[in-house]
Amino acid sequence: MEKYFNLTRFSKYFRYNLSIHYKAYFITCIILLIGLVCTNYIYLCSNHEYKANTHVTIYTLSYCLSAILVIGTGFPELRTKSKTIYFLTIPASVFEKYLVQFFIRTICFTIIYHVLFWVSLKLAHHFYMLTDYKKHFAIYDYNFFSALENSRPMQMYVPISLIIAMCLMLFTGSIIYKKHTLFKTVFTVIAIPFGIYVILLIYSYIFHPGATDDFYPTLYNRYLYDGGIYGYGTRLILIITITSFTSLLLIPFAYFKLKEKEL
Amino acid sequence: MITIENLNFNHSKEKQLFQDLTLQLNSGNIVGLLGKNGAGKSTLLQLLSGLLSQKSGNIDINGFEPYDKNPNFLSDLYLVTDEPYVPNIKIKSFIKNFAPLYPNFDVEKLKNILIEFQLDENMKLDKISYGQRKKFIIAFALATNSKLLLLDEPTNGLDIPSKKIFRKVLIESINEDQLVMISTHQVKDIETIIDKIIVIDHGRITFNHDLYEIAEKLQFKKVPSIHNEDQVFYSEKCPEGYHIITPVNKNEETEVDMELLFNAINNNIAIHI
Repeated sequence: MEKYFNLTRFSKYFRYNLSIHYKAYFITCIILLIGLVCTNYIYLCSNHEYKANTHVTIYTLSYCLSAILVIGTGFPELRTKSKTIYFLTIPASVFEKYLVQFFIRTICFTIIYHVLFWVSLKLAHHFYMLTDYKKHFAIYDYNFFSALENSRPMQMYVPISLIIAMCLMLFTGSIIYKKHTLFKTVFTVIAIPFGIYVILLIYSYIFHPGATDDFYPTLYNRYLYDGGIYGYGTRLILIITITSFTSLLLIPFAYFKLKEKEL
Repeated sequence: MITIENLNFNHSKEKQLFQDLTLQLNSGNIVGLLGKNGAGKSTLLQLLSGLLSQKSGNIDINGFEPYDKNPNFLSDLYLVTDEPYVPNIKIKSFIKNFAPLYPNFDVEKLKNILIEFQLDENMKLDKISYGQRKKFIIAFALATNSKLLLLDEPTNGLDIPSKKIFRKVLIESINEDQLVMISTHQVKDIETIIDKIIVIDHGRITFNHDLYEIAEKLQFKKVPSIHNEDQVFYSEKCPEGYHIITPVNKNEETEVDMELLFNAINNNIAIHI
């Protein structure tokens, strides 16, 4: 077990990683904050309403874009030969190296992003009040899940599972691709769902040619009968199953890709 | 310490580099790994440090398989590459944060070597010259007290005084339970410090002898002319006449001229030891 994880060694490596990259992390936070303030400010200036649904949309879209930049550029030491040699010979286990990047790029990023979004919203509101106070309106408390508060739990899981799957694809891409990492990773993130869609479309034409309409695959949506009421649709369950399975598969896949990393 | 058995390796899409390579090395040695460009020196060091995976055969270093990347193995190994990467931080910050990952790290030793190399702890690693960066990495590698030190072209980029200091600090820093492998084609830079020579050519070990063995069996001389050609293994013209390698005569030992020996081996001259 010690071969894979040792808390003391992990904390030393984690501290070392922060000492090396703290400037990059700090600059990323600043850029992110400025970007979010601008986005929110522009939105405030051009709209008369800013409700929970609105800022959750901005929140989610900005999160996805930021995730592409932050998670997609993970493992920066794997980009050049000299950095790769240095990274692979650091005396920490592969699991610890994986965990440090995973923790910083996904968990820490999500927490920090949440805080930054909150700060950016308050700042944008403050700037708006200074420049265009006539359109005075209150900003409701925001929450990542607030747009989905009235939805049934399963419907809330769809965007969450999609975002988790996207983040894990970005994380895996940052390990696999050496050159043009971001471009190739984003391409993969788009190509995989598109591939699934194309396969569904082909199968629809093969098995249900009469029922298939142009570019719409035949996906029968049956509502599950659950104790007297009709529950969730099969389409919803299919999407959650695919994304959850992808996420579960990508976690060990990324680890083994890192373990087998060579020059 | 290092046992390599029937090692086979090739880079993807390239022809076989190592074929059934077998080698055994023990601690307490400074080994000179010599060879022409593309001979496989750096690749061998990369295989020993787990950066590449062999196609078949075994590599055992103190009971570890390098490619497993066991952290206990990595904490007892330091690879200095020809173009080492250093992060954009101050030397003292690098020491403070990176040294704890090496359990046998000796901060005092590092400080002494830095003084020898005239490097200040407040220098920023991304602002110093290539040679200074190389000296710092060499100093850091020596201070880790790793059981296995792999130095790939360590004298590249070092000025003449620094090369002398490098030799001095290396000799002073190494103890009996360490093994140092120095890969280089600048034979002159390391000839006074190594005690074993391994020559690689096209992935094959063409020469593997201790320095004392060579000194016992061969003589390296400068002569105005060659009289008895049968007695000369190899000769090279020089301004004063000839550099020659001959069998030892009357137990008279001479200093090993490594460059001459290396040239002889590269010219496929049969050196009988």
